[in-house]
Amino acid sequence: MLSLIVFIPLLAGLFLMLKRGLELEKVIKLAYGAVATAFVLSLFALVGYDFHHGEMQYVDSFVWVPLLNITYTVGADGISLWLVALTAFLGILAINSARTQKQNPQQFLALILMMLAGTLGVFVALDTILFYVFWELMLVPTYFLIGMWGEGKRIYATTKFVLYTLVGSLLMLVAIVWITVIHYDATQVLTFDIQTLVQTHIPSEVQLFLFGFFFLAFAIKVPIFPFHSWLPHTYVACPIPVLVLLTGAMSKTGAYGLIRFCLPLFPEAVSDFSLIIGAMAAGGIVYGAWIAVAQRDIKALVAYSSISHLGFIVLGIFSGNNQGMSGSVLQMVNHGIIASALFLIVGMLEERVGTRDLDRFCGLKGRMPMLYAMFMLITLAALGLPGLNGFVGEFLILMAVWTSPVLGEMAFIYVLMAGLAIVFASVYMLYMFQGAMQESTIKLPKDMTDIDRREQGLLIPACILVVFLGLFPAVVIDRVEPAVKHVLHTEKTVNLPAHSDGHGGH
Amino acid sequence: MYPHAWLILILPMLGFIFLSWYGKRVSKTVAGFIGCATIGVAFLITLTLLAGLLISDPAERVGNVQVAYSWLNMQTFHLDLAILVDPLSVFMLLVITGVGFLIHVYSVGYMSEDPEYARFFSYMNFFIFSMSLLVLAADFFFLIVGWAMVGLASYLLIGFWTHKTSAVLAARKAFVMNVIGDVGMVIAAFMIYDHFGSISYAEVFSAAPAKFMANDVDILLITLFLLVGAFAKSAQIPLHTWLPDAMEGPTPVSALIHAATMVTAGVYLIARCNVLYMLAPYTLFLIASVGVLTALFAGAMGMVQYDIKRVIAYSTMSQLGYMFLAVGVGVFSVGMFHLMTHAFFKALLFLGAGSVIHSLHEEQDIRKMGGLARPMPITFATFLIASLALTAFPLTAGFYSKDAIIMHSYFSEYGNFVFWGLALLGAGMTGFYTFRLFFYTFLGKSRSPEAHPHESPWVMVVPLMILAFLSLFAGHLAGWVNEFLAPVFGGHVPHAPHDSIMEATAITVSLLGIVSAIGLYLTGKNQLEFVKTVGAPLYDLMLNKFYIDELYNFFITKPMRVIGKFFEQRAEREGIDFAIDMVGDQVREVSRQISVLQSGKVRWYAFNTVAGLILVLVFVIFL
Amino acid sequence: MGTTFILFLSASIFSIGAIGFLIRKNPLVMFMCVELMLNAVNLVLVAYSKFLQSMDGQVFALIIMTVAAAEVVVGLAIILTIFRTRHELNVDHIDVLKG
Repeated sequence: MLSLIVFIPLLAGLFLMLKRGLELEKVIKLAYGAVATAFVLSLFALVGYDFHHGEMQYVDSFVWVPLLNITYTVGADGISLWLVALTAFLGILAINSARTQKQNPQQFLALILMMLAGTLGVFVALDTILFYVFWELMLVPTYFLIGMWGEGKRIYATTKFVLYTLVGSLLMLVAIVWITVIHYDATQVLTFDIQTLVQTHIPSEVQLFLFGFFFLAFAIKVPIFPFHSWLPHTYVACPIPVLVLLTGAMSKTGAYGLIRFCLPLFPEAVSDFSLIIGAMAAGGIVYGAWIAVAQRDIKALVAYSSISHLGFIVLGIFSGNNQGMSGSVLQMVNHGIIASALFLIVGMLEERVGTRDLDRFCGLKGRMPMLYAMFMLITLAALGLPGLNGFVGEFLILMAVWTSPVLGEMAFIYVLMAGLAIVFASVYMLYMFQGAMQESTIKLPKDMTDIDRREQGLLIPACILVVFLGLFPAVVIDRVEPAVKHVLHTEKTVNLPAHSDGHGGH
Repeated sequence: MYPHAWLILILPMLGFIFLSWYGKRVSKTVAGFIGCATIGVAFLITLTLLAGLLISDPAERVGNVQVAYSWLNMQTFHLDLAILVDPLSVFMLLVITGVGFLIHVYSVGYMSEDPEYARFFSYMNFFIFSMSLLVLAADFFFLIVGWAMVGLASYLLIGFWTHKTSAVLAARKAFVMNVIGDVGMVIAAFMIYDHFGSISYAEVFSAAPAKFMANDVDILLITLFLLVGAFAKSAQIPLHTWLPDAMEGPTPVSALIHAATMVTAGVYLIARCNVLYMLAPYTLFLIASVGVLTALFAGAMGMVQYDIKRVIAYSTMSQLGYMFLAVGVGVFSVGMFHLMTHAFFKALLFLGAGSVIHSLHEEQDIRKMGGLARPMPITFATFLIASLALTAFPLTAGFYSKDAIIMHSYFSEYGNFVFWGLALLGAGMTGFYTFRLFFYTFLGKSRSPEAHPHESPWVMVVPLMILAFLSLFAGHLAGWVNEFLAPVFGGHVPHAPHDSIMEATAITVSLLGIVSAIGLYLTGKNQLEFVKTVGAPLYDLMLNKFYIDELYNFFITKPMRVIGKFFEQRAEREGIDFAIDMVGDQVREVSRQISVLQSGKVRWYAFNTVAGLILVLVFVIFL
Repeated sequence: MGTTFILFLSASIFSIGAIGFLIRKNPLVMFMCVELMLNAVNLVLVAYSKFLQSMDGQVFALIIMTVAAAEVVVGLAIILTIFRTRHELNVDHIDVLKG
């Protein structure tokens, strides 16, 4: 099932890329069909998921490179399934939003499909090499998408993005091989299977390096402050459909990697570094929010607000308890929905008024009542209004941070910083929303229309989910928590030092 | 036991959804009817809840939790979506839905000209829903949800006229200030969870007395963080600046949200958490001090303002100060009682002011009013009743509640002479500014001759009369309210000893305030000018609201933007991003240096190869 | 007869090829020098294959010859193209690929 979810978009993408001269209608239908199938399959997977235990389910496995025992292994637990469903959902939005692409739409859609497939693959891969392959597969289409269809300083942005990310991912490759070698030394079994590798106890001093390598890769991808400086350039240059996937799904791969690799593999290094990473996350939360307050460009504003919100997710992951991590996964889903909806709205506004500068337009409410209502709901969710989904995640995360065993004394400061950022969030989000939608309507083009059915179709699902997840967060949390427990309490059985009691986790 | 209590939440929500979805497509009559009917039915249901509580045994009145479903069920954290029906929540609901219903009916007339009539009612219904959620919540999480949602409703309604820049700014200010409060409450909830492992009222309040000694640091912190929320919502110093600006909204909104219900949520919160606050006498002292100070400052600011709604807004702040004083000296039910009477007469004042504004075509400056007593007799009479009740004139409702607070501020366990004295001073101010406003508006000669004021339509006047009736006679409920609420406050029924001299003093001071208003504004303009010149610096200070807005602007808003710009320029562009780009540039520079070796001459490469080969050979053979 | 003679022969051919490659400027001649070097190695491979009674060396020799043939095809084509565009064949003047 999971293989189908990954390969249907991938094959559709390849087909579109190689097959010339298709009619646009057919291209769009094919892309839709592929993504929708993936989405429906992911929903089936979610429904069929037995969430009473946190083991991997739907596992497919066969040997890929026999010499090195590299396998093709995919599987999912509660954490990855949600992210898969989210990614496929955002894929539909991206395709829908990409429909109006004028310049070479077929290649555009093909690349989006491949990027989507890479992202989906990252979430389900259970073999480190396979993970790495998908990790890079995700990057390549993005490079072309931003470089060829972007705006502004797109070449600079895309080069920076790719180089930045590559630095991280190559170090990760080193670490991947290193871990397998450690495992081989201990057991004489050559394997790249994640579930086997996590049982390896890695000597503390080596953990330090390996953790550093993995963390750098993921920190850049998320991004965690201060590794974020590619993000504003990239987001501003990125075409909206790609941005939906980039912010909604791809940034989650970093956080997912932290959960899947860093936490179970390097428990000691994690507990050593939790304070520092917590500081980075909390710093990023405030930093992003603070810069967002000073932005006039709405795309940049949302980009910086993303840095702030992603900080919450990282903070939750490193809080070291169930609640925080479950909250983080929920928040990943939330942020995926909210941020992508915000960027879609930014795109709609820019398309209509021809600028993203808040000083140059205002008062759209009169002309666009429909967008007004939806924009408001998304704004409120983004600033974390209690009762909507954004708040639930933030609440769980911060509560976990507050009671976190590993953050200790600093927890108080981190929560206060986050609190400050929440206040800032209300400032900049309202600043954007009110600045764009309210006050007088004099500065507008004459022929401006409200959003049409296609655009409503982009936003309505997000609006429904925002309310639904606020009312029923248990739908997500119930499925996530067992998996989270499983991750946090990974048994270390291989290569134990003599004095250890067999529990690497906390 | 009271499953139908859910309807109180569901009905306004349905009204909100219907009106925001179909509002544009139905006629104004239908929209208004739906807006009012949902609240009216909610009020009737509240009455049945009240009856249910009254016929049950007092001991069984507390702790009736209705669980809808398990909202979150984690290993370490469990939370139900549940509501709590007890005397305190039902008492609040009576005020919310009762006064809310009257104001809805009034709005049918007041907003009749507005093109976005349905949107107004949908927001109003949303407010009633949120406020009901706030008081019905059975745990701190949904309390916060309701807390934030009333903030949202307030934001939506303050900024209802979105084309007015001032309204938009005021709405944002109110929202941000309330978010500050929300954050405080969220942190308090974390601390509560940390100590009790739960955030539902029942578990927290039952475990608290055993867990904490009086004035433990942790209980102080919990109560203080909760207090941030209470202060922000109830516009207490220093988080008060949003309330006067909130008067940019339509007048029924000011009456409902910024006078009768939402701003009293802070008082409700402290009353609800009375178990915690009784463990933190220091916090109580802080509450009482801030309350009495707010009462004074707000009164002082109210004495010199010229916008009719702002004067009433300052008086609301001042009365909220009294409520905080009451709960701060530990007499929660007295505070709640003042909350109720205040809801009646303050809503009445606002609605009366709305009636005046309506008939003068959106004129709010009292210097342009005057002589309205004759054309608007009913508004005049009800406004007078409200003013008397506000100044605690004997036998009105305000007298019973405010006088009780003043007495308790001295006689209560936590009271002292200073509170009493300051509360008296505030009462004097109340008399002054209330009647100054009254005289300006209704007596004397009309100051805008071109206007043709007329009495408002029945749909607006009837709610005025009902509220006037309540403002006059609700005072007799004092004893009953204390008894009714006692189970929530640990069975404690406050009784202030009667002290004729002190009561007489209180009445006299209030009357003095009225008399000085008469002296300055009714009889002699000369005295007024004299006072203004003598107290010029003070007058200036009061007129400019003690420059607190400017202070905040200078010390918080401006630096926030400046630092944000600084981060963007210095830290982001010239710091982090520059450093990253430098790494790239350096790599490129080094490669440029190295690339000199690639001369393009094949023979040079070949020479290098052979030389290298020879070197390796030499190395291998001879070393 | 021992392998020493073969080794000497091969080494001399290889040296001639190497030196020729270094000092000549005509790419065609340089090519022939490269072939000399390759075939010097082939000589050793074949000789030792015989000497050690193993076919490995012969196989390698065959591979080298194949590769050499392929090289010549590509190389000659390139040289031809260069000559056509520049009307001269001096490797010292062909340095457009310098860094």
